[in-house]
Amino acid sequence: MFYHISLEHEILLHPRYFGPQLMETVKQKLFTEVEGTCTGKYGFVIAVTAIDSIGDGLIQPNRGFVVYPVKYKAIVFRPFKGEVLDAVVTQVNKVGIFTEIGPLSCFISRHSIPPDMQFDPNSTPPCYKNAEDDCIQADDDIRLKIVGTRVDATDIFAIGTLMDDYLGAIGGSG
Amino acid sequence: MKMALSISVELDGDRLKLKTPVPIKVGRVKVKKEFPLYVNSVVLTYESSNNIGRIKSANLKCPFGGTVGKVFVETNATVNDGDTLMQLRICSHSVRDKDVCADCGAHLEESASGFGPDAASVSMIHHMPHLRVSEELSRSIGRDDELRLLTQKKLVLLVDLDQTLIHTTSEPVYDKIKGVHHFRLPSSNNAWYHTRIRPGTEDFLRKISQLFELHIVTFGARPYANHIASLLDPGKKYFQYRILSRDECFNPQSKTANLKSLFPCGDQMVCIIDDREDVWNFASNLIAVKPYVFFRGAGDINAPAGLLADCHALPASEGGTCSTVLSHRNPEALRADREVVACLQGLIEHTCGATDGFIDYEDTDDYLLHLEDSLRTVHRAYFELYEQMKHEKHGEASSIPDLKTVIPYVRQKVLKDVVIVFTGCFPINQRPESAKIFLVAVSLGAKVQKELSKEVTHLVAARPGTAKVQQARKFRSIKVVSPDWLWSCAERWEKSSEALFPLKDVPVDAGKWRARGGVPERAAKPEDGEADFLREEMLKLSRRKMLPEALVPSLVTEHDALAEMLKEVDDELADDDDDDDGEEGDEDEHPLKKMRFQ
Repeated sequence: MFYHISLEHEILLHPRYFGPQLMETVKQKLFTEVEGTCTGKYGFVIAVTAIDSIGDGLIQPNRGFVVYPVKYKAIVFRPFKGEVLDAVVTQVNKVGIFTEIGPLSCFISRHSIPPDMQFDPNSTPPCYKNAEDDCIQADDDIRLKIVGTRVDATDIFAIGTLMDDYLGAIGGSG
Repeated sequence: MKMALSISVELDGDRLKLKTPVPIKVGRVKVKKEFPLYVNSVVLTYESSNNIGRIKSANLKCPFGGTVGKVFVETNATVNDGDTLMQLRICSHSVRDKDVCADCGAHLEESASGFGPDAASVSMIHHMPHLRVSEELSRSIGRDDELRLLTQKKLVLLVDLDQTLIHTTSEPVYDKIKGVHHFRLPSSNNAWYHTRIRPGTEDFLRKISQLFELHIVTFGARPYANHIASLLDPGKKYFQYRILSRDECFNPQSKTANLKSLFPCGDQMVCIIDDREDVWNFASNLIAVKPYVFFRGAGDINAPAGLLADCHALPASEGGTCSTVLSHRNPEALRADREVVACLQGLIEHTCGATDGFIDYEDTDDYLLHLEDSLRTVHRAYFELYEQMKHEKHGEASSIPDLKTVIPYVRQKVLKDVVIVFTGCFPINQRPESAKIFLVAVSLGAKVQKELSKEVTHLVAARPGTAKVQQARKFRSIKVVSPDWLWSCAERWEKSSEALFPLKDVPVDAGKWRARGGVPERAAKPEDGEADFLREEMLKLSRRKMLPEALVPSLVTEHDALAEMLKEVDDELADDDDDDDGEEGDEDEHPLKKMRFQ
């Protein structure tokens, strides 16, 4: 699920940036430091939408570095158990299907793939397919439901299933 | 006022029972027979009246994961405390990815107790060591694989990369050589890699992939392995994702450890091609490949640390084909190299008018053709044996032949009926049985004798003039050959023609010859004075306006080249003092050098 939330971050800046472009540098540094990162609590930071305030910089004693507390708003992506999402298949093998939902990787075990979808190792690329020629192979779009997540301090990883109504391959047109 | 009713479920054997202080009325049942039930998912919705009589509806969640059996409740039924809701086969956590059970979504580090070491321990997928499956499941998947291979009449072939199918160097290389791929990997400090694919690789892969399922097993890092795979197999037809790199190797010095995970049902159908036998623990299902050396003086960049590269079955081809690895040990050498390059360029333009400025080295390595033949023979022998075993057991193939016995069997047919005597091949104080050349001869099925007799068919002599060589001249039936004959047989798995490997009179570099006969060198060491030698040669050639093919150093016969080189070194040493990395091993043959060291 996506959220638009307020977050805080501290920017550590080298004294060589002290100059007319100082604030610009702080903003740039914020973008590079937070976009694309992941926190267990809020999920993946997709994009910074606004910078609310840049607090007073505090010069670190004995170092000359300055720390700016920055408050900003960002769009974050936090996956939840039970959520239905569209994913891109990255790899198909005999144990299951590996998918990616943007920055989130999600694995679907063979146990959670409908039993009529059988693994076919002989086709190139390998795929899961059933009697009606429905086929899931690498680079396909599929719809899955998240049934478990593992949340680390810096990463989120999910387990998905296709065993429910309206899950599975999404028609080629989109 | 909010009153929490503790309505939950408990597991009794395989039955999921309701625990509730009041009867509940079932709303919708959210589970289906034979469907998986995930941890903390909703089993059903219900309505219940709490103690002040208000009707409240809620979801009933189940903390267990597994597969649903028979469902005993239905919509609008009333369920009391202790009633069975459904059968639940609890999840065995047979597949787990990063400590999450992939079948039920349970966090396994929390509930680790109760699931012994048998739960999910085998990493079956080459490049995903974090994905583990239980031994039971891995065996069932392995059995499926085995059956599929047997019906397709295929075997498994593990392919090494460095010096087997390709040769890569990270030394600077003249950038305009045909057929050399230059690339950089983000993970490797932006170093440039230069890779030459062994001649005939594409054909080899195409043909052999019809008989074998191909896997890459390399000590290169993951990005390197992926890049090389994309060079060898752009369509991902041959290897797909079956690539095992150093990142996933359990043991940094051996490739054997991973076999059990990849092939849980045993490695009876696994054949290996590699230029190093030691990393496979000298397994009998390994076919030792003649190392491919294209860039002269560059070894295996991914060789395991701490293992010496001195135990190879087959000697490397003479020092590699391409001598344009630019050494930059000192500015002197660099300057010399530049001159060589400039000289080469001038020569190319001068003699053949090359338009694109690319040098096309003629690569005479045709080893893969022989390897293909050997593999075909192995494949045929295996399935003949398989059919035979199936026949004997009346179509019931409970056991299958083992390549670990088939390959030695096939190899022993190569020199059947050959009786060999060695002379001058190993030092007197060494036990012949421990010499590489001796072991190779035996593995090819030849009988080895100590003394000449009537049965002896071949005398393998490292140098002329030994007593046995003289003696053998009296026997008509004995063919006197150089050790290269045996190496050639081992390389091709066929009896090479003896006439091609006569015993040479090699008085000049006898020491070198002897050394090569005993312990084959992996790759020629870069010789000092090589650049000078090359420059000299180039200049000579350009003066004579010879054809560009003559540029190929390998065409200059070894003897001449060596003599020339030694002469160069001697000259160099006599009048030049700043260049003394020295050549090892040959001191006693060079009086000039000896004088200088005194």
